[in-house]
Amino acid sequence: MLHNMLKILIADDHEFIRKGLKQILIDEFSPVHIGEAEDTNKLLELASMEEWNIIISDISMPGKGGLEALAILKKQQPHIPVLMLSIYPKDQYADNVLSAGAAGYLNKDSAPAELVQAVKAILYEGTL
Amino acid sequence: MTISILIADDHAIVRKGLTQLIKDEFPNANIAGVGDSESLMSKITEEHWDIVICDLSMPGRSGLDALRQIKQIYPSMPVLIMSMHGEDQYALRVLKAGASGYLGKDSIHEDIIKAIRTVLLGKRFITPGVAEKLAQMLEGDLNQMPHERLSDREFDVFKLLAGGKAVSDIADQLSLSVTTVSTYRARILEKMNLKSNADLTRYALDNNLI
Repeated sequence: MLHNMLKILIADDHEFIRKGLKQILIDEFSPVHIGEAEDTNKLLELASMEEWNIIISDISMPGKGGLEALAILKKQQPHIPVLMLSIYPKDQYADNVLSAGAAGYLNKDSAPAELVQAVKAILYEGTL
Repeated sequence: MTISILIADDHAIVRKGLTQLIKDEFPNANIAGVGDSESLMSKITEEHWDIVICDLSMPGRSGLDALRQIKQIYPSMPVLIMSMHGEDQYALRVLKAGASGYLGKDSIHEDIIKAIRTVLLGKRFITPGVAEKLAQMLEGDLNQMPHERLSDREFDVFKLLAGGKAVSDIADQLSLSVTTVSTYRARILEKMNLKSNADLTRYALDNNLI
């Protein structure tokens, strides 16, 4: 059972945002193993240590920044889908993010249902 | 002790996260969340709340507007204002308007529990950053920046103008008439000794106000 458990890695420098994301994911996907990273160094470290089903990462983070981390992730583990989150409107960043290899882009304004929908689409259909 | 806390923020993720942070410390807390100022004003009358935690920028009427209205109806209700955008320039304004504390996004996870405990004792919660601003203010009006001469409402309009919004859009957003917004605009330019919207934008950018 345990090795089949869904594993999601979330990265955001704000603890309360991570808590919010985690709660939304647990409410929907429980049982689920959730890893947390507060900056891009930790994100890259955790990403290389375990096999995650999906990574959800903020774009603006201390350290390398989410976009650079995304590029590194895509080089090291191209098979792990990455959903990028941002406070910026979709039209401002989405193209860059998607062409850098992200599986999807979501604004932090999005309702929990949209987040869950996006994670499901990426996990089960491979795309958003 | 059971405390009742009402959280107003337009981001569901933020509401969930704050609720979780507070529950970790106060497991029995009764916490409700609303997504805009209108729902806040209606929910606040439904039951007793010990504390209101309100985001500064919400769609429709801002958190500052909601704060003023709450203090009119319930003068002793402690209200903590949080800002997701590090808008430090609002800290003094919200305290003047009666808030019990101002919490910036970057330190909110460290400050929120301390803030709740402080406010429950009937005191204000002042972060070192805000204390520094208060101290600067005591140094007198000599060093006052032009934008600090604006009233709260003028400051709201100033930010929207500086951000490139048209007078008619601002009127819509703030539920004011176009004439009123034009009057504000004239007063803002006069108080700040500037001539055009472009000047406002440049000033705002130079001073990290937008």
